[in-house]
Amino acid sequence: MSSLDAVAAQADVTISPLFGADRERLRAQAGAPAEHIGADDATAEILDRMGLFFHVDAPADQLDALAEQLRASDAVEGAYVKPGAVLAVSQAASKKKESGEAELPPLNDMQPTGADAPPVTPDFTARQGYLDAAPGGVDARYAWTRPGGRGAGVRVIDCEWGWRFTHEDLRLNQGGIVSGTGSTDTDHGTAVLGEIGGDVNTIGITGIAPDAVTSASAFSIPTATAIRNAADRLGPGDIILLEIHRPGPHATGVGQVGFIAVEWWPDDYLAIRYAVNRGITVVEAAGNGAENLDHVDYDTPRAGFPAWWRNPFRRTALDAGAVIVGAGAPPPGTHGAQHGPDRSRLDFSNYGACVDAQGWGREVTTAGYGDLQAGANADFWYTDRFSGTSSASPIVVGALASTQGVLRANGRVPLSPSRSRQLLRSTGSPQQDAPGRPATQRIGRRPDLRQLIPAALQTSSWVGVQFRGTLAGNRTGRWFTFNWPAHWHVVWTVVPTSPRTGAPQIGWKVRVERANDTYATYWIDVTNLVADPVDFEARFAVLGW
Amino acid sequence: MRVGTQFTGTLNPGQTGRWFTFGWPQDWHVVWYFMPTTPQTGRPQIEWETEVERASATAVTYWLTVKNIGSTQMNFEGRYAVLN
Repeated sequence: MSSLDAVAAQADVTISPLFGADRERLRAQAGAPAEHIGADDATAEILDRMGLFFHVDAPADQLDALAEQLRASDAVEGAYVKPGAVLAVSQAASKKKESGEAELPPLNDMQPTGADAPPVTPDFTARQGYLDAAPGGVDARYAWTRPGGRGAGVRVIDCEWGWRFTHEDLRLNQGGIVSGTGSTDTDHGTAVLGEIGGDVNTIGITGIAPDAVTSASAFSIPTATAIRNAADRLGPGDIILLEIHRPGPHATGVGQVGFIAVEWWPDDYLAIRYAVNRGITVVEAAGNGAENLDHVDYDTPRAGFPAWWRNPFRRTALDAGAVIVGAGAPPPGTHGAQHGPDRSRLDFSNYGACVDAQGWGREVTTAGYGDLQAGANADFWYTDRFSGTSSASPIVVGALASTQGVLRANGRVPLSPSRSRQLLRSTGSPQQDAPGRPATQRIGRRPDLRQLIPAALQTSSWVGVQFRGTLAGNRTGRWFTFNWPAHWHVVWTVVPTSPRTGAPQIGWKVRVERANDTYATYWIDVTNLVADPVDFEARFAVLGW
Repeated sequence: MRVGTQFTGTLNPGQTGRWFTFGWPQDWHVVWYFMPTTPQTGRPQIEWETEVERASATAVTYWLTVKNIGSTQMNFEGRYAVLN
């Protein structure tokens, strides 16, 4: 313990539980008596792993040395220095270029150069092409014709640093900051909230899902803690948005090259998983690092990652369960600009097999920044040029919130995180090639609510016989049947097929395994209650979803 | 017929929990079943029993005993179908 003690004893070092509680307290918060699981249990679960994480606060120049000291301690399984996470805002354009490296043009460096706000802000909604019909937009205007299509009953929490909840177009259906302390740098969060929840009125902009209640969780505290805090305030069908990316193994220090989605880090992975396990869809920016997230280098853990870590971008051994969003070009000529063919990958957008869907990564008209309308009071600022996977992700959030609202209005089960991912992949306007950026560099489809909502509403019911079996007298057998879509509501009955009158012949017991986010396995124990052999059939009924 | 999720819960390994839900119309034909939302491969995670109380001439209360038979903490959905 001596190296751990040595670290903890330093005056400018603070060690605190990352998720605010030790293992026993986390279990107690889940409402159960603490139960011991061995530290070497290969199936140690999410809450137990969360209880093992601690956050070390220390001067930045000491962090690498502290991590090495901690790793030397037998009491410490791993210790890693986490790069500071940032928004998809520009780094200073004056950063020195390494030779041969292209510095991507900065994102979201708009200044409040727009005309001063008049007494009444004009209606800017015609500039929000992303509201329009597919393929150019997500067809929010169609969704608004459906009961619940504005996201009523859905809660969204945006996780980043600062927001302007006093903005004139963000007054309704907002819950303010629910965790952490907001930064005074508010343009980015204001713009994000505008896309999702801009108020329905005659001024300014309108969000895709303005009836959803949007709140905020601030990264004034460690990101994984902020994400967990957001999850504790939400329920099935609600949405968390992660407006954040972080320099990964390929980051060079030039702009945001190499910045990647935050689920790659174990603590953020666990926090996302915590939310997904509760039925909350986590929408996560893919990042603006121009990275191929399929690259083999992401399979290599950072020094100090825990032994259970595997590359979550592969979605094989580990899958955070989030919806990852890339940035695609808006229709050419939007606001007079050309960013490549519609729905092609933008040059800064990360891409790969794990990127589930795309949104507009340029020319997003929304609240904040002041390049469209400015003046002395930032409550009246609007922008025409919000960009990045930062502007893309709220579009996907809006589409999901709208869809969840329609399901709710129809008395239907909300989309699970897995179903959200599936439907975003199977519906929508497809990605297109750009010169040098082919569609094989996957950023996914742009949502189309005219397809997404009917797909979400679709359901069916049917019955069948899944398997047959035979049991000797007074024996119990166990069968399992796998790869059942987990969102299906399925019941089982077992019926003998060999006649024998006078007494019950069989009983059965059904148990369920959630093999992964998408599929379930049903385990069925069948007991022969009599001395004679019995033949039987196991019947299922899919009741809907 | 319609299906839904009535409630969600969390159980530690080996833990049994009991929930009840009241005010169901007695003339509804209702079945209950459960689905974990925490993945854990290789073995069954959850089992349950349904018991019923006729609370009044018109209303039924369902008592649901749920057990985590897996090795990790589990979140789950309590699902129902109204068959008529």
